[in-house]
Amino acid sequence: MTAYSSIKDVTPGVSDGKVAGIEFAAVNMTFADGTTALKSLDLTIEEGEFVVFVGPSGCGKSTALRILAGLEQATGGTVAIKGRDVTDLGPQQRDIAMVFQSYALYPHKSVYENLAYPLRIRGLDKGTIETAVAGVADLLGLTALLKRKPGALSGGQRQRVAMGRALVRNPEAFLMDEPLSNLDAALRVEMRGEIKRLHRRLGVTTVYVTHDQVEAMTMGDRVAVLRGGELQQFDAPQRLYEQPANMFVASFIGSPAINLAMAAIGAESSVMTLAGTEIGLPPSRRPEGHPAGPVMVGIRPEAFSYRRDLEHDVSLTITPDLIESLGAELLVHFALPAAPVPVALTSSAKSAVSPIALSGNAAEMSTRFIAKLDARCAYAVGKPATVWFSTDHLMLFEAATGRTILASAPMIKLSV
Amino acid sequence: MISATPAMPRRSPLRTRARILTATRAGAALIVSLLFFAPIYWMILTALKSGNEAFKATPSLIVWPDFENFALVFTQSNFGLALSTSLFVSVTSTVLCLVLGASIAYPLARVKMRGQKHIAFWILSLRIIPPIAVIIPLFLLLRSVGLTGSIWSLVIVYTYMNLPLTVWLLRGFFADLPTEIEEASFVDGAGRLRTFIGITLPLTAPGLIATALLCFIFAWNEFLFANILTGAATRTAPVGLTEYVTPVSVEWNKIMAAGTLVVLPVWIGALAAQRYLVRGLTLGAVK
Amino acid sequence: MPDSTATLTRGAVHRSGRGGWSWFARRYGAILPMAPGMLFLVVMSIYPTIYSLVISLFRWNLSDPTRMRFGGWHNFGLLLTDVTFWNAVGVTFKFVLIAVSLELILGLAIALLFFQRFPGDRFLRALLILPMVVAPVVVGLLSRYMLNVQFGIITFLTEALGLGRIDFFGEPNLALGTLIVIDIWQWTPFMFLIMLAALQGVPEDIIEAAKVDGARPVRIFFDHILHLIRYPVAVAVALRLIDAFRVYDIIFMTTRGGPIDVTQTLSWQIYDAGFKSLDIGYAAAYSWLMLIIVVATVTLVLRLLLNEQASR
Ligand SMILES: Nc1ncnc2c1ncn2[C@@H]1O[C@H](COP(=O)(O)OP(=O)(O)OP(=O)(O)O)[C@@H](O)[C@H]1O
Ligand SMILES: [Mg+2]
Repeated sequence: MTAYSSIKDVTPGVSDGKVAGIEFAAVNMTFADGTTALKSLDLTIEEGEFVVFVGPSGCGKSTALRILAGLEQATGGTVAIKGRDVTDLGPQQRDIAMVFQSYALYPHKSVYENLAYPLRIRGLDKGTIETAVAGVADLLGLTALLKRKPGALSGGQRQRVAMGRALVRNPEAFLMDEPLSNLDAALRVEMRGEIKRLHRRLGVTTVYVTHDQVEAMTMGDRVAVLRGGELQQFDAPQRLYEQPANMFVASFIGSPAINLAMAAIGAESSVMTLAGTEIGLPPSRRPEGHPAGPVMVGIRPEAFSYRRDLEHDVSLTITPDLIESLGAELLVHFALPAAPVPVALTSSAKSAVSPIALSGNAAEMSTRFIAKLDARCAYAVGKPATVWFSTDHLMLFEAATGRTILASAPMIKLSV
Repeated sequence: MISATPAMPRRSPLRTRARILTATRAGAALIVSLLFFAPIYWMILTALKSGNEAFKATPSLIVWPDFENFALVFTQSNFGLALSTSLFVSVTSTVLCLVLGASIAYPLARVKMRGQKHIAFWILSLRIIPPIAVIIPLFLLLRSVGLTGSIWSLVIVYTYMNLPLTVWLLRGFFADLPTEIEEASFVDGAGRLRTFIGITLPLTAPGLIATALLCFIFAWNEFLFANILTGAATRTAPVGLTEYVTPVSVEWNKIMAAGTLVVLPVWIGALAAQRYLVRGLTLGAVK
Repeated sequence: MPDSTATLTRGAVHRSGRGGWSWFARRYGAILPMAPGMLFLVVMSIYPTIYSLVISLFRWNLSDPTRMRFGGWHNFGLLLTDVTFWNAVGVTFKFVLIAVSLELILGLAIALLFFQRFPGDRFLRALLILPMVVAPVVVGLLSRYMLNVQFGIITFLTEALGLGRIDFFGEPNLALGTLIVIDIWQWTPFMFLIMLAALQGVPEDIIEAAKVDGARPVRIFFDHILHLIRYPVAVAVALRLIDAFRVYDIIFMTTRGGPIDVTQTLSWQIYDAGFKSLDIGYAAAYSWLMLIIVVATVTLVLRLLLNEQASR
């Protein structure tokens, strides 16, 4: 991209000290109709970081992004970009660029004019605009399309133009709201990589909104998981996967979703009863301080193996009732033998589990399991078999609140 | 059309029946359309007839066009002036309507405000009042500011008359434009006014033009107010027309020529705006 | 008028201090452009409303403008006991109801003809919609010319058919009917356009589902389509009612209320009272009664249309 920084404001008050790229401080958002979309959001994004907001539909991701862009006024709290309080500034004064889900290209302007628009508004001279647009067009492979109107472009090309319009003026931050959701699967994967490469090259702070956890995991330096307007966890993808803050994050991250079941911790917390089977817990895997009683236990489908080895030493006898092949792996579905769990506990667990993990009723949910096994296992539907896992891979959650009691052991290389 | 499978008979009974049905419908539609068009044809025909052909015992359905009547309309009377007065009044009130209408409709469509619905419906409700019910007070109001007999009184009345329609239509067109396009412009650094002029207006132009045409048509055709509020020098075309009809001489060729002149520009407009006519005539309730 | 003092309800305004131009601009800037137009509408509608309400309570004839006496309900009482008023009510209702219902039926029928495309349909549609943009004054003149008892084309036709010469505007039994036919000629295209748009808006899958269920076209029309287009029908009927009540120009150009009183509509009589008798107190009271009649009729018809259809 052409190096041109003439339009950049010299931000006052930026010293050599550490200045956050973007900062949300106690941001609240309640719409005029009473809908609360954000509850006291606190979030600090480092300069140059690629941060993904992820969460189920309606969790407030877009609202947070729009507040950051200045398109929506928060009802409380402050927003700062590069140390400058922008809470009361309009989108025009924030020097941010945004890629919309619908791309929001100007349909009456050519690709060239779309790309040039932000620069024209800044009153740059013709030559500068031409070089800048040419540079961006070259970067995104749009050079041949500059004369066309957006209506004459494919979805992927439109997406590139939208990206280009954001890139062309070297802003303080890029904001993207589900920019890839209108593309087909293959193009989505391709653009995913391209956006990451661009980010690495330009190093501009980027906030990326998606509801797709795969996008979140693959793209984010850090990922903010939102639910019902509340920040659940803000962490690197691998930590979200291994050390989820609660059952919601555990079940939202990972595909297929984590298996969850009711279990009971024994009096000494050295033993756990899962589906009528007693599993001994080694000292490092004991929920210290947790009283004996019910917990939710989670095991990722990837944590299972079809054979015993050092990392898979606890066995579970199952009867597959559905096997889906992914080629190299099989998704083996099975039901845990019904555990004698008190009804009252089941219902409290139900409320703690995310709607996403809830397929069917709570009792069924807690006993449906999926194991992702090497295709060599050659298991068959209806034929009893044994799967292996390790207590290192178990996660324990408080049955009532879903809060994590014990995450999976860190630094474990999970077998695939 | 060629049937895809050669084994099939070229014309299945079903298809033949469908053809006959379509032909019947087309035939009926043709007759109905001609029936509705006939009086208009008759008017234009009469306008193009020369001299006494209009009063012939056996009316002729086709004539060699003679534009003499049109020429006479302009040379023998003040109808040319009436037409230009109509043009001025209609264009001016249309422009005023669009400017005032857009500046009401845009915030109404985009800005959240208290009582939004009430304002919109109050504006719409102005459309239900019969003009005859307000004409006396309006007449007295305009007289008190010395505007009766002036061309501006009509401009004001027509602007008032068409403003509710304009607001409703424009509100719909603005609301149909995705907000994201304007938001993109804000983020790109453009202010509200610049976004409105550079993005919103061009993108809603077809709707604006259709609205303008409707305003123009209604103002152009209006008679009640024009008859009461204008003086001899400020007659509009519809008022001018009525003066052709005197008990002494009724020159139908010329009346029809003048009538054709009144109707022609409006037809062109209506045909150009056909796509939006329904929406316009129903105040946006039917698209 | 409720809530004309609209305010932005977006949040965060309270944070930045009140007072000063920038506060005002932020809070009201977005709706400020509405001010001139709204002011214009308010002045132009409120003034005549109040004025007409006031003078309707006075006995005031402009032929003697200095003699203005408060009459209370006098004008209204006079009206309600006046046979010419009730005659005008009857004439107007006959005109409005017959014309609008026939226009609806005809418009719908023609829309059904045009619903499926056929070669040349666009051209025919263009011909068909022309009458509604013809200035009513021109319609009046044209109908006078065509119906002229001496040389009108219609007279030529009636004579050819052996019906003799008919004075359509002069015959008391025919005058109102003639006006209705003229209105139908001019406004059926309007109904047609809206009905066509309404029919085209009916989701195709519903019709297809009904076809698959084995329903015949007539059944489909009465069972489904009529129900699905009831809102456009209601809008069209309401708008036509409002406009039909206004009928004035055509009468001015043709019958002028006659023969005798068979085409004396409400609009015509208000005009008569106000601008011929100059009895503007009376005319104002008349206007109010007319407004009430229009609003009541439109409301009633809308309710009938929407409820009856919905309860099917
Ligand atoms: N203008 C608005 N007025 C009222 N409520 C709104 C408005 N915009 C959003 N909301 C509500 O705020 C909540 C959060 O919406 P938001 O658009 O931020 O969700 P999201 O996380 O982006 O969801 P999605 O993945 O579906 O885009 C939702 O409950 C939504 O209904
Ligand atoms: Mg969203």
